[in-house]
Amino acid sequence: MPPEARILGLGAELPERELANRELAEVLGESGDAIAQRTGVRRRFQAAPGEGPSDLALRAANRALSEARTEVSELGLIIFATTTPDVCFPGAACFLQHKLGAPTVGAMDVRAQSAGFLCALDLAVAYATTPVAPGAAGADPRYARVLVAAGEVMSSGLDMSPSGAELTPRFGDGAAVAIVGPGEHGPRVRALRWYTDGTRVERFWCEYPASRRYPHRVTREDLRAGKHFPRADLAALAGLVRERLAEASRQVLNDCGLAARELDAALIDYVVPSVARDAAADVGVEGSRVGVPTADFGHVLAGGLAIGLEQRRAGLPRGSRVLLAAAGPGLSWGAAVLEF
Amino acid sequence: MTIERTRILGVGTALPDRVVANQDLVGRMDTSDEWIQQRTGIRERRHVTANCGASDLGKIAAEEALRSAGLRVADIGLIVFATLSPDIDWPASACLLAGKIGAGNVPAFDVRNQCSGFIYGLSCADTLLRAGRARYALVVGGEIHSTGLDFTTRGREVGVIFGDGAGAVVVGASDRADRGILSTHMHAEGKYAGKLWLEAVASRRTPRICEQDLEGDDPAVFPRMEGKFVFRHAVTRFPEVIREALAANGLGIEDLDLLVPHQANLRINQLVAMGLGLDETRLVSNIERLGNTTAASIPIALSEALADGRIAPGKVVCLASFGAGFTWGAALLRW
Repeated sequence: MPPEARILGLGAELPERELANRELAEVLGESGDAIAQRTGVRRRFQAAPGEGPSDLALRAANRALSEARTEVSELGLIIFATTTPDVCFPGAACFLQHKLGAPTVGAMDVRAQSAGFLCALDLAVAYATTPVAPGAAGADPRYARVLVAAGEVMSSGLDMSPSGAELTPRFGDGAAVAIVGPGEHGPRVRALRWYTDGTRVERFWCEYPASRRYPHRVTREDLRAGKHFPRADLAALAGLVRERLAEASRQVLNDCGLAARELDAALIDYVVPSVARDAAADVGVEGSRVGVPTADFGHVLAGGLAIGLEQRRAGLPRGSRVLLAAAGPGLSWGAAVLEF
Repeated sequence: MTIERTRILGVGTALPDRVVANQDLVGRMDTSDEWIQQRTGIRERRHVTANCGASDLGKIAAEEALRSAGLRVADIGLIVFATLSPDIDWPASACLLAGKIGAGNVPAFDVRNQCSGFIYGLSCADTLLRAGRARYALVVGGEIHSTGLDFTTRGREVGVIFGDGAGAVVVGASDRADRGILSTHMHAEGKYAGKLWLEAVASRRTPRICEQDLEGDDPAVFPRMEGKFVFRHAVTRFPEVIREALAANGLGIEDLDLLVPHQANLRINQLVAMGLGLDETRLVSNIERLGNTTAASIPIALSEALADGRIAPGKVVCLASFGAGFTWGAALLRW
């Protein structure tokens, strides 16, 4: 029986620069109070000029490695979940690997939007616990320490004009890093499931550049028309997303035989905080047990859950059970139960 | 039931109809058939001629792979899509593919590891299946390069190389512990990210894409490459990772029946084969006809080698890649 993998270290990084609602109000042509009221997002943070997700993740990684008592040289694999890589290619994982001074181990970027952290965590646990070959006693020793990074720099791709008022205030920048491997301390993943529904892609997307568009992926006209900005029909998605979040949450609770009342905390993330709260209520978790990362620092697609977890974990005693759930573009969504 | 060993159960490919010969590029840029062939070995490649995304080609390849595996889409529990030219900025091409093939609500994600994307994606699928996450997985490599290349003299060094295409495999349990995917090996060296890269869209700049990116002597929306530098590293890393994969399974070069390398450059693959002591019969090559299709090249080459009988039960086959990142990797299979 291979050992269980745990999150041996966790670090999070929100950029120093806070972008308050009143600051956005000027460019978006709406008052700060109105933005807060309408979006449910209190504030968000903005990466410094020239910084990509790999820069934010680097700072988070140093904290996570130190907590995990892991040297960079021990890392066996780097998995980076992001929707907004530093450059188009190569991926943010390659940049992070170089900035960390990590050995020439695999560095992989995954795209699963707001389910990115769950996707990458699932992969990391699978790599860290799966036997190297049929009949082998232990897990593959190459993957005893897997670095999972999840984060975004959304701010450089948002419409900072009144036509962006609907979506722009909802997003934020940030990153988190988890070191995953077999060990004695740190939360373990008791259940994790995630899903995709590819029949509603255009309900929440950023279309351009689009390699499918012949003969040019992106033109001046596309940029002038703002087709390189995120677009979403949030009203049309609200009910469905609420249902999906609740369903996935119930599923993972069921997987580990837990009732909602046995949870010590629940982090539910969606770009519309009220939808996340409704889903939490449907599952039977309410009040101070519920955290919605987007409300605290904007929607950081792949990174929100992991950053929220890092903020929330102080004060959670050993044995605490935490529900994580997130949904976003794709549509991709999922849930997990962690036990501290 | 636990899957102890996975294997490739079916393969499929999709290529656009339009064949673009070197001569067809001559009118658009200052180049010649001889110049291109000498440097790359490429004679022709495929380009799309209308709106078509990586997931559109991926769908054709995936459905063919399902048929060849004797499975239905409802059997698939996981989709991994390897690409560097996704249909749209986001969400991932895996989501679009899942919707197009009617895959229900299975997990679907993109792996963005350029020329090594298929090896990395195959490694993910192999690991997740053995970890019990699904019974069958689709791993697709698909690219539409031609809508993002500079076909003027300014971009000729990169523009002539890449082709459009897709390849897919279905992965599932092997009925024999000694047959299937024996091991996978992944590497990267991000220090050289800037030696072969595509800058825009770049979240680290504000704005991450703008009109100036489409203009000038060196537009940020086109890939850039230091060809000689990449070449030097490729001819070192390829043999290194092939030997690593063989050694991990107690095998040597003499045990290797067929090398299916990423098709980046015929000269690279010839040098690698020569260095390893592999003659032409043990090297798969199709870059002459298809150019470099990055994440799609290995599953396409694998499909062709299966079709022409070069791969048969019991054969030891090594899939290997090197490319942007830098990333490189290998998967060793006993068919």
